[in-house]
Amino acid sequence: MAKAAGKSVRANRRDVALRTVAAVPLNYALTALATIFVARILPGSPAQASIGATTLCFAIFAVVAMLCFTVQSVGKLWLTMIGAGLAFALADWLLVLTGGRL
Amino acid sequence: MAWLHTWVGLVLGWLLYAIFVTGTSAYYQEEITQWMTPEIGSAAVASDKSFAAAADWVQHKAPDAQEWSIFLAGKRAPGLQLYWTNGPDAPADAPTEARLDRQGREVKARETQGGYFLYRFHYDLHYINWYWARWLVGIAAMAMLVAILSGIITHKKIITDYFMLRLGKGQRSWLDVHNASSVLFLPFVLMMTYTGLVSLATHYMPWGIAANYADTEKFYAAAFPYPSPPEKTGAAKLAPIGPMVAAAERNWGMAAGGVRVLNPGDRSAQVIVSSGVDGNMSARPRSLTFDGATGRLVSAHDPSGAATATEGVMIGLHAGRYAQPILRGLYFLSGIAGCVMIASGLILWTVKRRPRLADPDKPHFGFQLVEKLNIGAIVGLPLGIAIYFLANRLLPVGLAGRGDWEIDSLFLAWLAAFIWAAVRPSPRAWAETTAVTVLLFAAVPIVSALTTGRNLFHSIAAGEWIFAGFDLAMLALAAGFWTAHRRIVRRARGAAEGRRPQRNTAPA
Amino acid sequence: MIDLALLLLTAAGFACLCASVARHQPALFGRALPKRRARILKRAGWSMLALATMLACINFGSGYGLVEALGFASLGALAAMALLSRATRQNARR
Repeated sequence: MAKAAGKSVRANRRDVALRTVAAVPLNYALTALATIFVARILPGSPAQASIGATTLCFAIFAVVAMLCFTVQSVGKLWLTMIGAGLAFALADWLLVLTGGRL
Repeated sequence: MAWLHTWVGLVLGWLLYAIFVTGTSAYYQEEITQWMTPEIGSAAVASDKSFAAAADWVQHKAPDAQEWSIFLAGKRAPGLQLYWTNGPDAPADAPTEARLDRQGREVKARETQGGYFLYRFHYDLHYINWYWARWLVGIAAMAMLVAILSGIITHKKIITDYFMLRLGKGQRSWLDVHNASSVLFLPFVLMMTYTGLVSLATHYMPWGIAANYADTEKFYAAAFPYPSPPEKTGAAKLAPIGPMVAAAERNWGMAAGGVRVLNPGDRSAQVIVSSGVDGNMSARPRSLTFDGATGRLVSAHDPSGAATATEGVMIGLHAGRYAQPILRGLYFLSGIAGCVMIASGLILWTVKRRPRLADPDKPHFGFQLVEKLNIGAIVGLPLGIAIYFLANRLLPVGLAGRGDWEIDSLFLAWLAAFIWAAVRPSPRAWAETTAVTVLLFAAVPIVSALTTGRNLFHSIAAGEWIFAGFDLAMLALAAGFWTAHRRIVRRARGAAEGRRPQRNTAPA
Repeated sequence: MIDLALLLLTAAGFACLCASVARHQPALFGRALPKRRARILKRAGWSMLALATMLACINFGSGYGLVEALGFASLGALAAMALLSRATRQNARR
């Protein structure tokens, strides 16, 4: 009984740690990639698109951070975030490759 | 999510409290600076006259300068700030900046950072590198945004029926204070947190610019054009600045905030007049460029683009420089409500856990640590700010590095509050630190009257409202901390009686 | 002058909204109000808040007016809450 409780405390701690890492550094990387994507696809001049994307990025970060602490499965959370990050990275790379930068 | 709200709030609450307290003071930054330089009069002067006088001054002081910038931080500013680039023949150590009063005379006042220091602290902190300080502040602000949003989701009921809150009802009252300040001032706090992040957005998220620009300089040139001096074409007298400023002000219907002169004394001279901070919600100024030799209007620049406009208004909303006295008062009160929200949230963490302690007289280390840090942070900072104001009046006027000494006094007093909290029993430390804060704030107007000859009644009679208002604000702060002190003492007495009803011999 | 009007309007508006909620009526009035009267109170409350916003926008321009109206809404709600919690306590004592 006591052993089981100790184990669940440890599991709980690992769960929180994994979610925190997902919510802060991983989230930052994902948000950065998403911001680049938005800055590339927003209409208007490049300067306007950059400002718009940068103004928006905190909303993205906040929503993802909250999701990190509400979704059921930590494993699925990590997989989804890494998958979305890779998709954004690929899109960003292609957009910069085809459009170039100033 | 409730768990997230509690722990994120606890870990970053102390830093957020310091940011909110100093940030709230920044709504009266100019007034604080004015009070801290009592040698300067507070009489207003029309801004075109100020700029013209400042231009005369710099022409005299640095005749070979290639470029001048003259800034007037709004109608409330106690003076003008000048910067210039010296000509190639000037000695390397020739001055390149100066502070003038509104009449365009060089300021001979005590050295102080004034309200600017408190403003600057709220995002650059002190004693640590500003680059990392901004990251720390940004992490705290982001955590606050997450804490607020998760708070909204978990406590939807409180918000939809906020009248369930009951003020002043016994043991629930810290919770009520936290709920009332959070819910009623939610629009303000949410707005401040997001717009604060936006104000330093490119520091936190440079990737939006990097997405479109390999060279960051090109972004700034496109988004915020800043012309450099053109090629010189031969000597010519600079036309008077005053009429150009007046023309620009008539054109916009608001006061000017800056004048930049390129190649003064040359035929190619340009005078760029920018709009001030008072008239427009957006933080991004408009500007008109005049031919420096003839005084004719050459071109106009208005910030354009939906994103620039949105960003400019967000930053403008945060800084509130456009706010007239009543709205400024609302900003200030809302800021105080934000401070109360954070402080009561921090206190709540201990209040909720106290009944669950195994032995309330000997709480475990973590609980004690939080309680001590709460005292040091919540009471210590206002105490330090009172000392900052007192140091401004008490340090010798000629002391070398005086401005830094004032700042050091603030942090020494704050440190002392932490040490006091650590060595005294917590309930006593609460009562004692708040009592000292009351005395210090009440002492500010008295010490000021004794050391400068500007006393409250004299200021009111002379119509020097900035000085009178500052003194009254100190008394109001003293009264506020007095109320808090009374409550703490009464509650501590009540708790002591409640806990040991049998032992009636124990002295308090 | 307009500022005082805004404060009074927002405070009265929030007070009406509170009084329109069935759960708070016994504490405030000693009994539940008829449904019809509660509905009138609710409409009056919202109208006063809307009126305050409109007044602010007409007087200061829409952007500045909205910020000022929002600021006064917070202050007015606080005032209403303080008044009502006082009324509740007095009723409870009676």
